[in-house]
Amino acid sequence: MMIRLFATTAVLVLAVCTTTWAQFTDKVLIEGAKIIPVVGDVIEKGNILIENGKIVAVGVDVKAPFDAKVIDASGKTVFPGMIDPYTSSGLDIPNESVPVASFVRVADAIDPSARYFENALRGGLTSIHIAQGANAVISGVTRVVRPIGMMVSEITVEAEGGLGIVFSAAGGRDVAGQLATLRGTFRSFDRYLKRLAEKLYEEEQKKDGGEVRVGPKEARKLGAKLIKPSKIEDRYRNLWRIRHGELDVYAHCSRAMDVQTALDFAKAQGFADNMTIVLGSETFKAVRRLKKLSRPVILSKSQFVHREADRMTQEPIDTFVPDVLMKNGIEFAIAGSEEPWYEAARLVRNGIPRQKALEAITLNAAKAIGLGARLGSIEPGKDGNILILSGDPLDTMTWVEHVFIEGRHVYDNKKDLRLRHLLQGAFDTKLAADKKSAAALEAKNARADKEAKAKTDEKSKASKGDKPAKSDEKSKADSKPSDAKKSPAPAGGSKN
Amino acid sequence: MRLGQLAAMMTTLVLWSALSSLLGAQQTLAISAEKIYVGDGTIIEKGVIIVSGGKILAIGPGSQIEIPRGTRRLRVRGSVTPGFIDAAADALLGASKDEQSSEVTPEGRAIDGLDFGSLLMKRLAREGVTTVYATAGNSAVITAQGATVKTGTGDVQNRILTRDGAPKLVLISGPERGNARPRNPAGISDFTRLPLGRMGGIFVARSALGQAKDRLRIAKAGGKVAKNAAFDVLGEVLSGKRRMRVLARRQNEVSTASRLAKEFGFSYVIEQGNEAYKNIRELKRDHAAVIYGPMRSSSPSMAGVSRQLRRFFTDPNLNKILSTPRVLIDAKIPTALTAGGNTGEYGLARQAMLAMRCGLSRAEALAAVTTVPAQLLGVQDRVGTLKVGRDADLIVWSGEPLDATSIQSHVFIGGRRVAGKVF
Amino acid sequence: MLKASSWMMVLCAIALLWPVEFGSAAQAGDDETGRPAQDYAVRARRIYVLDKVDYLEDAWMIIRGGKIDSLGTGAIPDADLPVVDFRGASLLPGLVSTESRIFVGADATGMGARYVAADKFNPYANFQASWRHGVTTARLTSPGRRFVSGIGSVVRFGANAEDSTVLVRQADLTVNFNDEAGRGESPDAELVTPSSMDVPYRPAERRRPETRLGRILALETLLRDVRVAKNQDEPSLKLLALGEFLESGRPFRFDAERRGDILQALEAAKRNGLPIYLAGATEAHALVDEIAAAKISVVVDFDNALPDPSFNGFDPVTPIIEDDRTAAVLENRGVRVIIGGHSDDLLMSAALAVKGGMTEGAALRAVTARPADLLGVGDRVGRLKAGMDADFVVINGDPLGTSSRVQQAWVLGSQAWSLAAVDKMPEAVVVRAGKIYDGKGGVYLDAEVLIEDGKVVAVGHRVQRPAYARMHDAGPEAVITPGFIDIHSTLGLEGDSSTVKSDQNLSKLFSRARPEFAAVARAGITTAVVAPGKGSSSGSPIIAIKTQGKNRKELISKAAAGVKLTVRGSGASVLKSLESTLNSADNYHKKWLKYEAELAAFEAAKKNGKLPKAAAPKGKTPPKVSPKPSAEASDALSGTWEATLSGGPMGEPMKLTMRLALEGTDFTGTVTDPFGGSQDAPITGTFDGTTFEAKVEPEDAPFENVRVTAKMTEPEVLKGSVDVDGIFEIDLSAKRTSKGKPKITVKRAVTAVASGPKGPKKPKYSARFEPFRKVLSGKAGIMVAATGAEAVGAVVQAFGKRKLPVVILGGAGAHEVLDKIDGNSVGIAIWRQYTRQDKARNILIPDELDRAGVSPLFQSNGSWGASRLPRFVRAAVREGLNPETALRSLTYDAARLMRMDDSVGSLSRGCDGDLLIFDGEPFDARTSLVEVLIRGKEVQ
Repeated sequence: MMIRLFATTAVLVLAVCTTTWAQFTDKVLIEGAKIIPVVGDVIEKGNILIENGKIVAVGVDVKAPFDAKVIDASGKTVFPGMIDPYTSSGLDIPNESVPVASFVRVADAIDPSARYFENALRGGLTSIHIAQGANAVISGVTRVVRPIGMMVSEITVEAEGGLGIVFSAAGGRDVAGQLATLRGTFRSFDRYLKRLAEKLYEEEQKKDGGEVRVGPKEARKLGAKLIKPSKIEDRYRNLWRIRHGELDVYAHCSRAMDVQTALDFAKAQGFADNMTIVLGSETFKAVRRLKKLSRPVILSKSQFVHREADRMTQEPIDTFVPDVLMKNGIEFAIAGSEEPWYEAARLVRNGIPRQKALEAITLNAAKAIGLGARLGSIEPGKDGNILILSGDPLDTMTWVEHVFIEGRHVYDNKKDLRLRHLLQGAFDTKLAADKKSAAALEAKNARADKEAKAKTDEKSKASKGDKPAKSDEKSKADSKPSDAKKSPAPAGGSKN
Repeated sequence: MRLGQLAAMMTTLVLWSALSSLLGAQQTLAISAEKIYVGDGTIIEKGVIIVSGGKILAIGPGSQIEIPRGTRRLRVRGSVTPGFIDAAADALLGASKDEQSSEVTPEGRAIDGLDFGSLLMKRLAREGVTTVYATAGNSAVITAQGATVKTGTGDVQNRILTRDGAPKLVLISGPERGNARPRNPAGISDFTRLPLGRMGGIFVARSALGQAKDRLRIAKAGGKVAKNAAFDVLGEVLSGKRRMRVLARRQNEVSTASRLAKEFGFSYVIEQGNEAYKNIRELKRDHAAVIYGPMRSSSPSMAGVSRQLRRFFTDPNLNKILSTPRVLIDAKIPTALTAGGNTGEYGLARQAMLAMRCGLSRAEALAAVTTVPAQLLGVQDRVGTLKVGRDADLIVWSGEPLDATSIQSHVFIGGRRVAGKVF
Repeated sequence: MLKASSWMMVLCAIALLWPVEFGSAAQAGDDETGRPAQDYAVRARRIYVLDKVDYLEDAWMIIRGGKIDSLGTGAIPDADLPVVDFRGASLLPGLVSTESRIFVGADATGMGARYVAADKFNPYANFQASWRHGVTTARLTSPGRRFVSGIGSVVRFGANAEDSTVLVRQADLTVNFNDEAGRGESPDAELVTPSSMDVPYRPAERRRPETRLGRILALETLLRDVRVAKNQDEPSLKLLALGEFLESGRPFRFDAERRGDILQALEAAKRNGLPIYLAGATEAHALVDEIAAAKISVVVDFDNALPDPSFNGFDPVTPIIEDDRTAAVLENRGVRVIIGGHSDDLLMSAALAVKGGMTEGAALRAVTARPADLLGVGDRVGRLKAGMDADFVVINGDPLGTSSRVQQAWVLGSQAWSLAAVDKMPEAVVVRAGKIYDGKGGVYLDAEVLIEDGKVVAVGHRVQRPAYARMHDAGPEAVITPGFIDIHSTLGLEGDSSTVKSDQNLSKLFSRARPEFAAVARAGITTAVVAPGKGSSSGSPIIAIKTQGKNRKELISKAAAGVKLTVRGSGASVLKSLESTLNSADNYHKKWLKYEAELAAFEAAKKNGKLPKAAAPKGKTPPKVSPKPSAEASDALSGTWEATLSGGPMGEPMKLTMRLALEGTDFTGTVTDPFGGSQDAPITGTFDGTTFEAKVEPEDAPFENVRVTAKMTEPEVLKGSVDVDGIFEIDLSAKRTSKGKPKITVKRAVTAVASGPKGPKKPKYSARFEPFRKVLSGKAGIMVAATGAEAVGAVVQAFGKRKLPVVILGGAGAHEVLDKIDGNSVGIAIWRQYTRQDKARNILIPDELDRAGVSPLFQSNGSWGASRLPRFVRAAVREGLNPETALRSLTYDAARLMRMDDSVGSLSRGCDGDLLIFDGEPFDARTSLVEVLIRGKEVQ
């Protein structure tokens, strides 16, 4: 019996998202919801218009064009799609066996059917930056994907993110061994470039018949201009591209001492302004050095608390790292969670202001992966990644009810079979109670209407004596049950 | 306000929390909060609790309670709940929990292996879990009796509530692990321990219970029976003086427990009960209780489709559903929540929050970690609810209890404030 | 100029706090590099310059911006610089270790010259293990167990992450000639990327070279490969790195312990012309000529550490013979010897080198200047010379003394570490002098006294010397006496001679930030018994204070030191008033004694449950609070008062409203919470018509007791002060605005409380007789101001009857009743009248008293006057007073008669560490007072 249950769930989940991801030209208006755009202040009751996958207008008086599909979200809360800026979930094996793997692409190892993506979508994540683990010196090219779709090409948001560079001890090497390997790689890359330049220059000369009249050093200098990524060998191409800003760099610094090493190395190799730092818990000690960074830093949820013994007195002390970052004015994003709203709530209960906590799982996460202009908030011009929540994003009882990715309605928790399986019977009593209270409400209204009608009858009898229209009373009665149901969960669990 | 700066300047001189925990013991302390969750469902708005000598002296709405002169005052904007109780904390015994000298050791006592000063005890106390029932390990078929103790620090004597809890019948696949015949080249097995599989386990349980039943019958008929501590304990279980704890996760394990209970006539409490939602009828008929948990925040995520099918049959967690507490409570089965003695993001407060998110009301979730476990452990006269004369174990929350955005700002055990901060 | 001691504390506080702080907002007022910007000077008994001269005696050193500005002896040129005075300690340049294993990384990597030890330096680590031995600069070792095993780097262990930097990134390259290089087999498959079918992994190579023979060959092939590699287009990174190191010209570090290995190392160096220095070199003593000829530096290793618990004691095939004389032998042959080795305790190694024959100066240079020069940082550290970094360590006594310890480590001018702070060691000082008077008549010659945490621990010829103790050698001709006591003075009351009622708590009223304290202390008066100028017949409280202390608490030597009475008039009237006062005091005392006895009995009974069962209170619910009708109050206090708080730490004054309800002499009420609390704070206390004493309990506020003391100088007005936790004093003035009794009265007990059986009733508290209780129970002294024979006689009679020791102030005319005075329980405190005229003879009163067996005492009865008291006593000795008596009268006798001999007046175990250091006999005219110590701390 259990196999049948599981098979059906898998099939139905597939059904929801087989539509190919061709450019979705439909227009969508989400109406009447409380909008928390993260940028700008909350709109109590407003509408969002999405065209061609982009948000076109947000506001109270936004009207729906004639051909727009209108979605009634009154009484609900609308929040931008959440973003996980750095995770290795979704890969079958997170680490390469070779320390320097800059020629590897994460895309080849992403498994779109992994259960992780289903949980991420249910948790409200609309864009996920997948990268390799931290057990290497240079890890492969990362990728930003959306948690819906069956083929890697279909789920890609940003094909090439950047390379991971690990500045702390990893893979059995101590930190000196790690840095020696890193420096060795870049030094042999430089030597390779010099020889490539010389070769290209010679080919250039031979091509138009001349022969090489200048010495090797001169040839190298002239040849350098001819270098293009396509001409560089696989092993080194991506190193060239991070130096020229075509690829980002994600620097892993788990110890405080690694921060300065990473900053110096980035300045020396020229990728300082397209680098994002992935922090370990001890790096709050080097907070002073993190001040002048171009992008928010990434902090995994497992690195929130740093425990150690005091230097002089040996008493154990715990430090809440986000608090230190916030006090020093450092923007940070939270990574590594399938339910980012809970991590934001955890920040708020430990003293981080609500706006900073919300930014950490939306806007800052987008900026950290260089997509700040496209993701992370509900603003005209950004992707139409919208969540419709049953209540306030940080409230325990809130569930994600609908998810729109680039304007497409990709998730409805009433059609989420696994959730219905997991929550079977959870909300029956609540639903029954709601129904009862709705019925009572309706009875009361009905009585009130009868009295009001009786009064109008006397007044009209006294004044004109015509018959009140009967139809409007009935129609009011019909519309009520659908609104009354405030419960967040899917209707009627299937009991087995 | 400039006096504020003066106060702020002075706070750097003297730490208030250090002082109050120091003075908490001797003096009376009056805690006034927006809401006090008594534990039996009633909520006191703007209430006051007066604590002295480790006990609750008076509790009630602020307007009716007179604060005696000289009491220290603690005004809180959040709410107050009773201290939480974890009724199946098996992480507490740490390494010494797996006694493998024999398959049936109900006469053993978990309290003898309990480290009262451990870091885990301090961390549990700091997070509001003020009372725990420490259970023995799961590597014997019938293991030792658990003990109900107070967490935190302080001398051992007045932290013990009960020494001899219920023995535990282990029906999961724990006991047979590692018992397989050693494949050494000589082929001679110097040590083979029963059971070798699930049937072996139930055979051992049935034979032990059978012997205990016979001894009862002989004793009742006046015959002489040799003294045996193990069977005396099992005799008490069979004669109804004690309840048997049964560690069962899958549906067949729960129905085995029900079958054994019917056959030997003992009442039982299910521990963990991952699939207890499938055995509602049996549990109702046996008037059993369930200590459910630890739950997981989302359905278990598995990597790769191929592996999914292979693990489908073996992973007990796979077919857990999140609404089990709701289903059990609807069927009037007493249900407590447990975190297995874990702390932090897997602690009891998070389990209660998760249960609330998946169907329980706030009052039901609170009851599942305060009054229900207190009744199951038989210590409801001392802990579990905030009533006059009860132990002053309580948690002060910065907002509504079990909200994702509120934190345990103060925890009191026996009226003394537990030092340390929760992140 | 700030008193140096307080400045040092401020400086230490900042510096000490610094390493603990975790990189969050930098300390205000420091420059970008985070170092405190202040400049300061240090002074110590001996500063080891270790440059042209070994050390400077009693010298100073000025430090500006973390660098040494100048050094010298005598007076510090720049007067307004704060001075950190290390008194008896000696300063040594920060030690330089050549083999710090603090960051032991991977033990054997195949990376050779690519492996740079500086990469594993963590500036945020805890360098306590090195600071403890005085090491502030160190060469981080590269992993040992390979033939060419990696590049060593020189780092500085700074007080904070900003100061901890890498000084030299490539200091030396280690080549290991010991057997261990060949031992062990770790397959070193260097993964070639990208490996694929056609580019297989290279199989693991066995580690070359294995035998000693192969090493020279290996080194030569390596050097040849490096030369060849230069012009290859794809040389291995290892060879490339080795080539760069060779070009840098830094020396190789040849590690060789055995005789054979050392010879081979020298041979290899000579043949390939490499700049090297020798390390390990245990058996170098057998090859002195060869080493001397090679003109290289040698790092000699000493075995001085505690046994390593994990060492299983295997003894190698042929034991390596260690010999402490190696260093000395090499030194004498002109070899530059550097003391290094695994253990960081370099000072102990230096001491062993001295035992082996090396001079102290050379040994000290071998752990500071020479390693610095060898490692290329000789221009910044290793010596205490102008322009160098201010890295120095403070040692209590002779640096090479086995029992002297490193007390503090300062790096770049800020204190990185201090033994006292870390191990919370008590402040301890050992003072040695030619002669010590212990105050009770005992005399010790060439003796020492140990003072720990302000208390005397031991006096004798030689006392124990704890590791943290500071040495203070006053010199053979010095004389030490206990601190002098001024039996009666008004120090600190600054002329506030208004009558003070005996219930007044004097400790609150005197203020300490007065200049005369320092003058009195420097004159040798360490303890003064302070009483208000105008005594009162009903008695006023007296207090014993120290003349130097950081805060009020430290200043108070004995808060309730006793009572002072003033009696006037004829003998009979004096006797009557004394008798009445003493009798009522007796009754009061007896009532309390009875009460305490009953209470003890009641508690005992309650504990073992033999209490009579009290009637259980009826379980009615607590009554609702019924507001009292506001009746016109008849008394002077009830009603609402408008009060203003000002002065003290307050910014500008603040308004409060108080609502008080008086019942008898006690009152209760509420006052708006002075500390920002949202609700009114309860206020309770006593009011007897003039003085108003209250306790405020603000809710949820960060301090314990807030006491209000005020006087109703005129009706409707209260003037006084609010004392917060003994830390702040805020002036309070209040005016009553309305008379009505306040609406809400705070009920006393909650009826729900089960009230147990009643204990004995407490007698009524009388502020006037409370101090007498201590006097009558022998815990406090009593002094009576009386002049004229009759009065003195009456006093003697009254107190004689009760066998109570008494100090008579003034006591003019006492000579007439000398015979009636019992010597050891009466003391006469002479004020201005030292001599009296008897017919033609001029009699010295103290001498007369002494001869009659009565102990003469000396009082200043003033504040500045106390500083001239010792001079008066010396004048008395000139006039014939026995110097022994003079000393005893200023020390032990005064303490004994005022019942304070358990804490002051002598240098016996448990007493306060107050002592005076003279450079001769105390009362000799040519002698001057050199030093005053109060509770073990020098008075500046």
